[in-house]
Amino acid sequence: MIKSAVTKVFKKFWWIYIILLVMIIASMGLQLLPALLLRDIVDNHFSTKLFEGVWRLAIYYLAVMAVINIAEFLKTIVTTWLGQQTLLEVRNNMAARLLKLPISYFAKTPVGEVMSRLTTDVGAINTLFSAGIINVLTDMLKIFGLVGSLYILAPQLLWLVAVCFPLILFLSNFFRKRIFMLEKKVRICIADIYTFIQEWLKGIQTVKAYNMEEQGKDDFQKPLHTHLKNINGISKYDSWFPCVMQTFKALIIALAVFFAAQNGTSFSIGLSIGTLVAVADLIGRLFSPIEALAKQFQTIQQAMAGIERIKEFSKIPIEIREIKSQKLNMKKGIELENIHFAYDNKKVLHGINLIIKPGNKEVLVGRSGEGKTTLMNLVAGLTVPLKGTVRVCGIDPFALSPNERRKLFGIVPQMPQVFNGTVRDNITLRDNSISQDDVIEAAKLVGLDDTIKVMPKGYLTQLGEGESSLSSGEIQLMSLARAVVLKPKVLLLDEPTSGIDAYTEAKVFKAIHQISQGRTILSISHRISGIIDASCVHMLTKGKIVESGTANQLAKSNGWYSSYKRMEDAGWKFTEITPESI
Amino acid sequence: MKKTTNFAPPEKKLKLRAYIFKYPKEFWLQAGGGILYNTLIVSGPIFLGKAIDAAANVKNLGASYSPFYLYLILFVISTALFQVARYFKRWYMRDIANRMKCDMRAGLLETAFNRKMSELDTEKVGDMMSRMIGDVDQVCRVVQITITEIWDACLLMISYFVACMIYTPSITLLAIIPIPLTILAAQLIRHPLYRLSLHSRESASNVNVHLQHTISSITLLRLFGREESEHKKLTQLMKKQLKWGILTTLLQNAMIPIYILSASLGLILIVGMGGKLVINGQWTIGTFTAYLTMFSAMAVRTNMVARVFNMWHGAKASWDRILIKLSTKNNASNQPNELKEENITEIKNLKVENLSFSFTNSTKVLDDISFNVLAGQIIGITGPVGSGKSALAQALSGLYPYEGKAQIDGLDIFNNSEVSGKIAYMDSDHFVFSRDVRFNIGLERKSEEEILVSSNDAALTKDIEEFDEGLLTKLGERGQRISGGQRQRICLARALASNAKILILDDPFSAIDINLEEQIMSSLKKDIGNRIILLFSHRLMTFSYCNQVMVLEKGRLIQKGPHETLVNTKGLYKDIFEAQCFMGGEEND
Repeated sequence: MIKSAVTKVFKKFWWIYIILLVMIIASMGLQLLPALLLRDIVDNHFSTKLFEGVWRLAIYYLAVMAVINIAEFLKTIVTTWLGQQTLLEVRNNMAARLLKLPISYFAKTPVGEVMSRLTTDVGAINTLFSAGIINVLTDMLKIFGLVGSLYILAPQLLWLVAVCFPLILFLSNFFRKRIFMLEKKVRICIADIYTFIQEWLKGIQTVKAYNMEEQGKDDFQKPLHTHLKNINGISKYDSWFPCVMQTFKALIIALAVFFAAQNGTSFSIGLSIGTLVAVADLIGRLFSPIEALAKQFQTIQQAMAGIERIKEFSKIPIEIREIKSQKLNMKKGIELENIHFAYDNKKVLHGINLIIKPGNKEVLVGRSGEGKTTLMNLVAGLTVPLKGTVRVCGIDPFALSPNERRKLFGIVPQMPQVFNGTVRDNITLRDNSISQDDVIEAAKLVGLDDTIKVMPKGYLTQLGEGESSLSSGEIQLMSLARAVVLKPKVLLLDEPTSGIDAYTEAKVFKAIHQISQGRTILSISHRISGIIDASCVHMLTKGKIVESGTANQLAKSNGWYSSYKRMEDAGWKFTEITPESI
Repeated sequence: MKKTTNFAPPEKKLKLRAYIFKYPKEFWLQAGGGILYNTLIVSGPIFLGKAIDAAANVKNLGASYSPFYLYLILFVISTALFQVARYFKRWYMRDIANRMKCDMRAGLLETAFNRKMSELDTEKVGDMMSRMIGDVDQVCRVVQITITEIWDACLLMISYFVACMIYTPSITLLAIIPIPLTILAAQLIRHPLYRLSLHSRESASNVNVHLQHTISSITLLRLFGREESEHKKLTQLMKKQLKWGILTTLLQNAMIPIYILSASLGLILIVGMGGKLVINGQWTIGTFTAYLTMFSAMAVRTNMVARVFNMWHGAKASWDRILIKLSTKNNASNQPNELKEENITEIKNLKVENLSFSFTNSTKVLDDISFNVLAGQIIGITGPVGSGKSALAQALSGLYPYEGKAQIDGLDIFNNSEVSGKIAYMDSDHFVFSRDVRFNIGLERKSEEEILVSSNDAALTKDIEEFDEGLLTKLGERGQRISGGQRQRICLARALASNAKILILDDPFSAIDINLEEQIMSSLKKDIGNRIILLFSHRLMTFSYCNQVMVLEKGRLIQKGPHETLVNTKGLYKDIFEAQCFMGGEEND
C-alpha cells in the first residue's frame, strides 16, 4: 500500500527526486565551507597579523550561508510537495481498499477505529515522507562529509570518531526501540479516543436524556489517562536523550582538543591553533546532524507505528469479487438453492431454497434475529453464501459491477439513512446522470413530492447532520424513492414499513403496488401486516423456510384484499387532512 | 509525580494561558531548568575558548599545561551541569503540554455535553473529532515549542548578548541591529499565514466528515453501487487538503532563509571588526572564536523566534477552531443538570398547555397542544407520518425548548434541574452503547437484580439467556451484534430501569412482533405504580392497555379519549384500528 504509493509518485516525478539528490549533495558540500573559511581567516590572517582580505572573507562567509539556506528552503519545499503527493496516494490506496472490504468487516469494526487509520495514522507518516527520510539522508551525508574534512585537517583524530560512533549508535538504538513500542501504544490510544468521541456524540440524545454527562466525562478519563501515560513515556526519553548526547559531545570535543594538543611532545610538530579551533568546530558540527538524527527518531518512530497500523489495515482480507459481464435472463426471477450462511461460526441460515418467478411479489416473514437481513444481502450480492447458489435473473449477483447492480436492484434497507446533501442528492445518491424528471417521478410515486415542494428550497433543500427537517416516516419514504428512481427490475424491501404508521403504510403499499408491474419483489418483514399484496408468503424460522403459501392460504381467509381496500379507503377519505399525492 | 486527578479544563477555559498555569509546580520547574540552562550555557564556549588560549600559550610562550587541562575539565563539567537543567526544562514542559492536550479534549467533550440538544443538532461528529484530535495536537505542540523557545531563544539571546557586550559593546550593538528587524518581518506575514492554516485545518475537517459518513453508511452505498462516487468526492476533498497544506508549508518555509540571512548580517561586522581587534592584539583568537560562536547561536535563535511567531499564526487558526467549541453562548443555562437521585420524588401530574414546537430554522411541527396526565396512567399517542409524534416526544423530553407550558407538578420541564432525572426519554434512534448489556440497561447505576427485573418487563430475559455472555455480552458499535428488535427492547429496559417518573417511549415496538408487544404492554400496565408512561406508536392494537389515547395530525391534537371510545367513534383512529386489527387478528390463527 505504502510501497505502491511511493513507487507511483517516484515514477511520476523521478526527475524531481534527481534534482533533490543533487541539491542534497551540493548543500552537503557547502556545509564544509564555513569551517574552511574560518581556518583560512585565523591561520592566514589573524596569526600572521594580515588584515587585508578579512572583509572579503567575511562577505564570502555570509554568502555561503545565504546559499546554504536557500538550498535548504528549496529542499524543504520539494520534499514537502513530494511527501504530500505520496500521502495522498497512500490515503487513496487505503480508501480504495476500504471499498473492497467485506461488509462483515464493517459490522465488526467501530467507525472511529477505521477513521483513525485513514486519518491520524496516515498523518503520522507525513513527517517521514515530507522531511524524515530526506533529513535522515542529508544528516548521514553530512556526517560523512564532516568526517572527511576531519581526516583532511587532523587524520590522527579519526580513531576518536571511530570509538565514539558505536557508543552513539548504541544509545540511539536503545532510545529508538523504546520509543517505537510507546508510539505503537499511542496510535491505539488515539483510535480509542476517536471511537469514544464518535460513540458518545452519536448517542448524545440518550446521554442527555439520562443525565449521563458526568458519566461520559468520567469514562473519557480512562482513554485520556492511558494516552498521557504513553505520550509522557515518549516525552521522558525525548527529554533526556539530547541532554546525554550534548554532554557526550562536550566530552568528545574536550578529548579531541586534548589529543590534538598532546600530539607529539611539543606543539611545534602538533597542530596549528587554527586547526585546533577548526577541530573543535568540526566535532561540534559533527554532533548536530547526529542530534538531529536523534530528534528525527521520535517522528520516525511515530511514522513507523503509523506504517505498522497501515500495514495491518492492508492485511485485512478483501473480498475478491470477479466482475463478469453477464446477460440478464428476464424469464428468470430470484433463485436460491440450498443456501447456508454463518457469522463468526454462528450458523444463521441453513438450507434455504426459494424460487421467485419474474414479476412475483413474495414476502419472507420471520421474527427478528432469524437472518432475514443476511438473506437480503446475499440476494443483493453483497456477500457470498457459505454453501449454495444465488441467481437473480439467471446471473450471480456477487459478480455484478456496482452500476449494473444499481440498475438491477432497488433496495430499501431496514434503517433508512440520510446523507449530507440536498434532497435530490439523497434520492440519487449524488448520481448526476439521473434526470430531475426521474427524481420527481420517484418522489411522487412514494407520496413525498408534496412534502418536498413545500420545503424551503424544494429538491435542493439541504439534509443531513444538523438539518433535521424530515420526520422518520418521511425519511423512510425518501429511502423508497431512492430505491425506485432508477426503475430497477428487482425490488428488495427490508422491513419497508417499520417506523411508518398504518396510514402511511397504506400509501407506501399503494406505491409499491403501482411500481410492481413487471418487477420481481422480495420483501422481508417480521409481522404479517407487511405481506399485503404478496403472491406468496414464506415463513422463516431458525434459518429455514418452514411454510410457504399465498397470503390467502396462510390467513385462511380471502379477506386480505378487502382489508387492504379498507385501509386504502381510509387513506382516501382523509385526503382533505393529509395531502394525498398518489 | 503521579496524579490521579481527572482531566478538566481550567476555570478560565477560554484562556490558553490558564491551561499552562494549571500545573504551576511543573511550570516553575521547567522555567527554573530553562533559566539555569540558558544562563549556564555561555560557560561552555567560554571555557573552551580559554582552553584553546591556554593551548596557544603553551605553544607560543611555553607556559604550563595545567590551565589547559583545567579549562577542558571545566568545559565538560559545566556542560554536564547545564544539560541536567535542560533535562528538567524539556521533561516538565512536555509533561505540561501532554496534560494540556488531555485537559483540552476533556474540556471539548464537557462543553459538547453541556450544550443544549437544539445546538448539538447542528454538530457534525467528524468535524468535532478533527478538532478534538488534530487541532488540539497542533495547539499544544506550538505551546510547547513557544515556551521552550522563550527560554532557549530569548534567555539565551539575552545571556549571549550580555556576554558579547562584556567583550566589546561597540561591535555587539552594531551587529544586533538586524535581529529585531527579523522578528518584525515575521509579524508581517501573520494574516496570510492564519488564513492558510485555517483553510488547511478546515479542509482536513471536511475530509474527516466525509469519511465518517462514507464508513457509517457503507452497506447502503454498496447496495446502491455508489462507493466509487463517494471515493471520488473523497479524493477531491483530499486534494484540497493537500493544496492548502502545501501552501501553508511554502509560506512558512519561504521566510526561513530571509530570517537567517538578515539575522546573520552582523557576522560580517564581527569577522571584519573582530579580526582587526585580534590583529591589534586586543582580542585573543580564543575570544574571537567564543564571540563568533555566541553570535552565530544568537542569529540561529533569532530565526527560531521568527519561526515560532509564524507557528503561532498557524496555531491560532486551530485555537480559534477549538475556542468556538469551548465557548458556550448562554452561559447560565449551560450547566448540565446534575443528577441527584434523592431529588427524584414522586410526582402527581404532567400538564401540557398550548404547547408549540419547531425544529431549528424550521416551521412549527406542533401547534397548540394541551392535555393533562395523572400519575399511574399510560397514554398512547399516535398519528400519521409527519404528524408530529416524535416532535412531541422530543418536546416532552425536556431537552429541547418549546413554546407554551409543559409542567410536572407546576415545574417547567425544559432545562430545569429540579425536573432532571424525573423523565426517561427513549428516542426513536434506539441508541445503544458498544459496551455490554448490563451497562446499556443499568448505566452503572443499577444492581444486577434491578437490571434483570426491568429486562424481564421488556421481554428480554430469554434473549439475554441466549447471548453468549449473558449480561456481559458486548453489543458492538451501534448494536451491530444484536437485532433491531433486541436493540429496541434494551432501550426500553433502560428506561424502565431508571428511577424516572415519566417514561417517554418513542416507537418502542416497531421492530418487535405483536406477541412480545402484548407481553410488554401487560407488564408495563401491571408495574406502572405512580409513573406516567407516554407511548408513541403507530400500532394501535395494544393501545387498549392505555388509559387515554391521543391522535395527532399535522401537528395538532385531533382526537382524544379512551381506546374503547375512539374505536367506536367515526374517525381516523377507528379506521386504522380496524384495518390493523384485522391483520393482527389473522396472525394469531
